[in-house]
Amino acid sequence: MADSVAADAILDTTEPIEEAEPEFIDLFSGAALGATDAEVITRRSRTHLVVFVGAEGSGKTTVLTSIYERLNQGVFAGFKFAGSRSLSGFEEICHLNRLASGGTQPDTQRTRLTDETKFYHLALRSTEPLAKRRDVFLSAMSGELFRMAKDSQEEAERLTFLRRADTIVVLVDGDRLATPAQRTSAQADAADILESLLDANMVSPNCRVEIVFSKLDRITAAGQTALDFLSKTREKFEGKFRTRVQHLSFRQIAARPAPSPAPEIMERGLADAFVSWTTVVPLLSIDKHVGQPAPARDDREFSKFGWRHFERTRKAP
Amino acid sequence: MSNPANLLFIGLPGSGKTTFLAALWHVLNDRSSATALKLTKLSGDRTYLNQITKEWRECSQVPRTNLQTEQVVILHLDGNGFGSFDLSIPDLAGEAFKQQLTERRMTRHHDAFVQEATGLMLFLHPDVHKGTQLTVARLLEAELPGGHEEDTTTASAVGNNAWSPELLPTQAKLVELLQFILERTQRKLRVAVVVSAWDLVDNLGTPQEFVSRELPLFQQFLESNEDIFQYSVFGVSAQGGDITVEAQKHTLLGLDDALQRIKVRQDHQTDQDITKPIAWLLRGR
Repeated sequence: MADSVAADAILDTTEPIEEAEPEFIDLFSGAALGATDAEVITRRSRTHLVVFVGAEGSGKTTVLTSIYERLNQGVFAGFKFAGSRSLSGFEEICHLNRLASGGTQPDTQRTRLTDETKFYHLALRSTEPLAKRRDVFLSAMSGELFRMAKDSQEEAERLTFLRRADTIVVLVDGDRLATPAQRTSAQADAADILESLLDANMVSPNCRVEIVFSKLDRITAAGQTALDFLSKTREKFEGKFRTRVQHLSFRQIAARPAPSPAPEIMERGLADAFVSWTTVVPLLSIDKHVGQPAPARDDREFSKFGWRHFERTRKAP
Repeated sequence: MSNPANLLFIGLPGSGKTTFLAALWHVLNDRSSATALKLTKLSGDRTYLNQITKEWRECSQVPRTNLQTEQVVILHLDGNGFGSFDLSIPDLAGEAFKQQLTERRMTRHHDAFVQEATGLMLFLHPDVHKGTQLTVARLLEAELPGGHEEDTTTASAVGNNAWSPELLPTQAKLVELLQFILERTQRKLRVAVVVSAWDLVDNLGTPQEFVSRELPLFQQFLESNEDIFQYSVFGVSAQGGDITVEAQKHTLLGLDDALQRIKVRQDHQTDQDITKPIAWLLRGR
């Protein structure tokens, strides 16, 4: 009887051990990064932030996915892939252009209106000998968010992380530009977004701003009238923004062109653009954002992220 | 234990980790072939090694390691330039690595192996999932004889299959598995990339060329992190052929010496020394 009790006692003590949940260590999620996760990387090394802005459907996410897809195929724009904290995030936004999606036509997942900005991380190393590893963040802001920013200075001021951007790419929807009924709106949408951000003092003087006419293949296919309108739009933007933006440039790309007789030209366009977007503009000696008060405690994380960056970098040469 | 070395075998389910271990044990135990590393003595419980090696010798499917059957194998080895040492290799289940990708967590048990590892052997099967783009697929279709471009106005456009981590292309999975480990170790490691079932693709170039062609993102990752780890790519045919095809299995069983089933290729050099990737890893200690 005593033996039996002892045996029961042993069973009682061993059972919980057998059923105990194993201990786990959390690994990084691999999804697109929020500001807090992004900061883990910015603490480790100087990161280059490229933000794509534009109206809904202007091609922000398509450009972002195309950059990743090109790296998937090999060296791109003189860079080798050296890692990513958001590999699953990239894969997820590429899904609708993959056979595994079950679709027949390439598509792009629309950027969702979320409270927190999402960053896609790429660690890159130039193919040049002895090149250092570089960390790049790409962020596509939802068109809706920018529509709100366009309509309200208060909304624009909430996008303070843009002050942290090294490059802001303003996308002008080439498809709409090629459509007579929509071309004026496409032009105005892009101009209004940039103007709102400048008015709200969201663009750092050291930031490169590139106005990019997307879906070039559609503009070209629409004929000379569409190309002429593109030229006029560019002239209009020059006149409107040249004095307000120190590092302003223009570009035309087709990130995911339809089959064409000269696909290599289109391919080269995105590579050239990526080199430009990731090239550091020399810092100006005076930064007008220096000395601004810290964001309030209840401010959004990405606002704090922008502020922290300036606190850290304001003494940079 | 004298001069211990700890290697970590990593790879997705079916990537050839256990088959390699079975063939390795046969070679070491047989002692008749010229190998960089040799067995010095037998000790400890060899039940598991003997069990998987029996299956290998009979050209039966070596059972996959599952989460319940994970074992740590200790081999007492010696080699020219290495001296005597004890090599510890945990035979971890591919399922555990799959879980790392889907659940984004690692058991403390595995983490302990990572912390102790002096080298990594990363296994991949040559049948890779590429994550083909629809744009590329359409172009290929159009180029094929009798192919045509689909009518974009009538085709059902957007796919219905929701994205999940299981759909990650092989090269993204391999990058992630290495990133998990590199994140958790302070050591500068060597990584031996082993393309298993090499007999299936041996006529398509060197192992390095295979990885560059089939897994370009992974290849770039390997090349651009030389400051963190060194790598080399090996092609290893541990079975010698497709044992699920009866004729091939019959041929393999008919060989005078089972050692002839093994082929190891590094660059343009091919031999039967299955200890070669391990010896390369140990030179980095």
